[in-house]
Amino acid sequence: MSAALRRSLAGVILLAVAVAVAVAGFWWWRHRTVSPAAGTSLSATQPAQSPLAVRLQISIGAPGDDAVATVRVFNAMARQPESIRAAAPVAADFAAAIFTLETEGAAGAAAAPLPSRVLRLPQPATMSLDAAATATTVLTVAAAALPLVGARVRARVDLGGNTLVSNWVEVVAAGAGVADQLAGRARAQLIREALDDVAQTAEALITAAPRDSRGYFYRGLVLERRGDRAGAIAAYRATLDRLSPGDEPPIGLYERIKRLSR
Amino acid sequence: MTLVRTIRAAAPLAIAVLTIGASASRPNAQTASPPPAENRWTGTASGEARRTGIGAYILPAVGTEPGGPANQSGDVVTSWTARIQLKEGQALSVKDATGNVVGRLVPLVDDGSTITLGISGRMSETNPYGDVAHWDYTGKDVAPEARIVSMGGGAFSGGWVYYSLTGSDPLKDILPNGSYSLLGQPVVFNGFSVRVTRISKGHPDQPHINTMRTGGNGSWVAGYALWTWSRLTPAERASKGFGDEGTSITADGVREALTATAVAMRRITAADPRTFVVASGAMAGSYRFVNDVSTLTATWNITRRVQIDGAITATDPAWRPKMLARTTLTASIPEAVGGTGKFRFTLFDVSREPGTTLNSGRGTGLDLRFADDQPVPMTAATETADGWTIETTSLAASASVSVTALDYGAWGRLKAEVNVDGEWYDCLAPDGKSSVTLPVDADENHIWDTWERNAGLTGHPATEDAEEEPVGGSKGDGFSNYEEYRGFTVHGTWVSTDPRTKDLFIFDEAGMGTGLANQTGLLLYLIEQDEMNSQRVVNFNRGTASAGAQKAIHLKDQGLDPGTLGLTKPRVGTPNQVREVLVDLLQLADETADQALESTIAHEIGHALSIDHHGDWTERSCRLGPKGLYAPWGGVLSGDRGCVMSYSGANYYTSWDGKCYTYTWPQSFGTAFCTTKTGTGLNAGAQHIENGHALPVSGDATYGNCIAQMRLK
Repeated sequence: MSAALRRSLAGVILLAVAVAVAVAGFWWWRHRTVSPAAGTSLSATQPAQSPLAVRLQISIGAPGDDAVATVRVFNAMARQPESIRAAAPVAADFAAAIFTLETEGAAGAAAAPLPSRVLRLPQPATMSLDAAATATTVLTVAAAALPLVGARVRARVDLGGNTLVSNWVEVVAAGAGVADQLAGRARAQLIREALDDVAQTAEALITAAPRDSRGYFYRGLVLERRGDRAGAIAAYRATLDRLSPGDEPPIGLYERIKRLSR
Repeated sequence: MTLVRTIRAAAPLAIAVLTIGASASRPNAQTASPPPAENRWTGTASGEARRTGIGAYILPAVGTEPGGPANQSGDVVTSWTARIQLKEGQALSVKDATGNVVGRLVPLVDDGSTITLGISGRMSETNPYGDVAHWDYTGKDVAPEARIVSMGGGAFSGGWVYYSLTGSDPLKDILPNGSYSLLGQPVVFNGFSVRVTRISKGHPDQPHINTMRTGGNGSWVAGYALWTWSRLTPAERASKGFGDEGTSITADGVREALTATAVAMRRITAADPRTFVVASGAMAGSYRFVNDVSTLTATWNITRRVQIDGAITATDPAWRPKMLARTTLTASIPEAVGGTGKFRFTLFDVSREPGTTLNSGRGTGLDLRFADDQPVPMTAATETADGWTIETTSLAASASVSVTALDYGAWGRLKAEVNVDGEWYDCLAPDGKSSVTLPVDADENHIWDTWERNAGLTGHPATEDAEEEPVGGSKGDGFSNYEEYRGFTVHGTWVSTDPRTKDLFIFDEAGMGTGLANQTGLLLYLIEQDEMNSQRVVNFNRGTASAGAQKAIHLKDQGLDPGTLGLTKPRVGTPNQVREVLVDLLQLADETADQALESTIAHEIGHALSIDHHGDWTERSCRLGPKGLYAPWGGVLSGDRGCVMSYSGANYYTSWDGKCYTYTWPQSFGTAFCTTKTGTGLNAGAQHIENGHALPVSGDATYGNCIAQMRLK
């Protein structure tokens, strides 16, 4: 091997290392837990017994997909019957909040943090939580970090030093069949508002399960959001053609068609 | 109420008379113990001293008899019968090493006893010369008279009795509860007559007779009788080293005195230094002493009569059990009775409801306990099978005790007793009962009376579940009156629910709210996940007077079939039957009609309350054309158009004329639950054709009147 070749090879290796470091750094930056700077004052004003409640929902797509965690914060005491209602709105600054997911420890063991990344904060991030308002934050959990099926996960939201804890959510398996897995993936992508991904998954679902109504439905949702009314109507009609009768009339689908047809 | 009781005492024991060199105990004003008002001992005692032969009569009844004792013979009997009246004097509190009062030593002082002494018999003597003398004793005397006295100054000397006040009394090995001593030493001086007949051997027919006066006694001692302390005033005792200004003595001091006394007593003739103990309210006993020249017997039966008015205050009517809520009651010996005692409080029949509310906490421990910090010094509380007991550590005329609730439905009874001189007396409540309920609960159904009264449920069973508001397909909401009273934890807050209005619990897993479900008129409580169990049962901590398991509605966000905005599984049922209520928030996010989300949530919750659609629907088109939602006459679109359970959107409908029409009106969502089947809006009015459409669209509802269908159980 010539010296020039060796020098060239070394340069490539160095470049690869540099790229790897940069990628890793970027990955870390993107995946870090959003947290306020030290000493940041949060604006939550709830008393020690917080009227706020937190709910966690985890959407599992196909195997290997990142999971989507939806964290909703609302004023539970403002929604209670009058005898115990605390109607005063609670101000909360979610931009400065710390969202943490954690898995349930074994008996007696502390909960273990579950790596997650905030994808979307409530809009606006600073809001007054009254009886009607619900602040929704979307996080993602890398597939590799997702606990085993059956494990329980909950969310912890630190609002101005006032830590709120959500319900426990059991990690469920992805759908058993390809169609269910792709439908789950599409829903998770829709929550993430990743329309391109939804479109791609919808087509994959239509290809994999042409008699399944859901592929056409997600295709319609994407087209509707992109303003393709005719395409959306066609997709929804295709959905109707494949829809099995249920306990409730698919009023939402008919109304979509009507709405787009006007 | 005045209780007049004879004492019922316990166990075995001894007698003592104390020569006290007691060490001073800690000053404690509460140990000053004036005697309870006029506690007395009354009864009888009798005995005799029969002396035979040599040395038969210990008193020099006839001066100096000739000859010597070796020639004496005969029997002389001194008998006595006493009517005894004793009064309890200034007691001494006996304290253990920690200063805790463990007993009371009460002197018994003569208070007008009377005694009859008699003497009879002949003593004969023959001297070495053959001369004979006979001493014939006769006589009878009755005290009190100046000539008859005792060491006590009256007809009877006195005694003492010991009352042990605690099971941990350090003197219990030698001085059981009720130990006593009695000392009778009446003496009569020259009250009897003795006829002396002297017969000279040489002149047997010329006896010399004269009469003399003589005396006698009726000594008897039961137990250990040393009385140097009993007649002392507290000040005099204090000067001798008694504690608490002469009102107390240490247990070690008592033990020391008893030990020393026992030795001395065994040397005393006419004493029986055994352990005598009050039994069945009486000092009753006897002894017999025999030696070569004497036979001594004594029998006594003396009963105590005590007047005690124990009382306990009524439970605070404003107190209801809540977690760590406390209330204080006071037991006392009324001033008219006077005196002091040791108080014992007993919590019994205490409830053991699981947890602390119907849906929080775990465990089935006792729901009431004595507070850790009591208003007066108390022993540590002792747990019993159904409650607790606790005692004061000092003597007092009254004592307050604080009780803490550990459950919002806690219930129990409290009784107070006061120990006056070893006997426990009930302290009666103002209503004359020997215990009070906690909380105030006249019908003892475990529900606080004030809550019942405010709810208009006085006299109703605790198990009743009969709400009629809002009206529906059945009464009640699945929770009994007691359960509504005991209450629930809702988002960490305790709430006692309204027994007049039906309550519904909802676990809103997505925080979506309950929408327009409040239009049912139900009281909707939003609970946390851990405020129901894994089977959705809200009253999982139910115990007393339950109406059975009642479940919460589990409201979830879930991806549903395309077009399906909400779904209930199963389609219609009660909260106990419907496993979950599903709403697809993603699909609803695109709905533009007013209150689409709120109405859909209410619609699905309605199904979980047994409310059905207004009528049927299908997706079979009534005309050729694309597949669409078809509403028959009286079907899913019928009835009240403003009802959340109706639908207002379809593709086709069949009207009153049996013909098929295209449905062209916009979708809208209902905002209330209907109370009739009558059609409104497009479903109301005269049948006619308008712009090519038959009206009304669907007419009155086949089902409808949704509120009337509503069932929670």
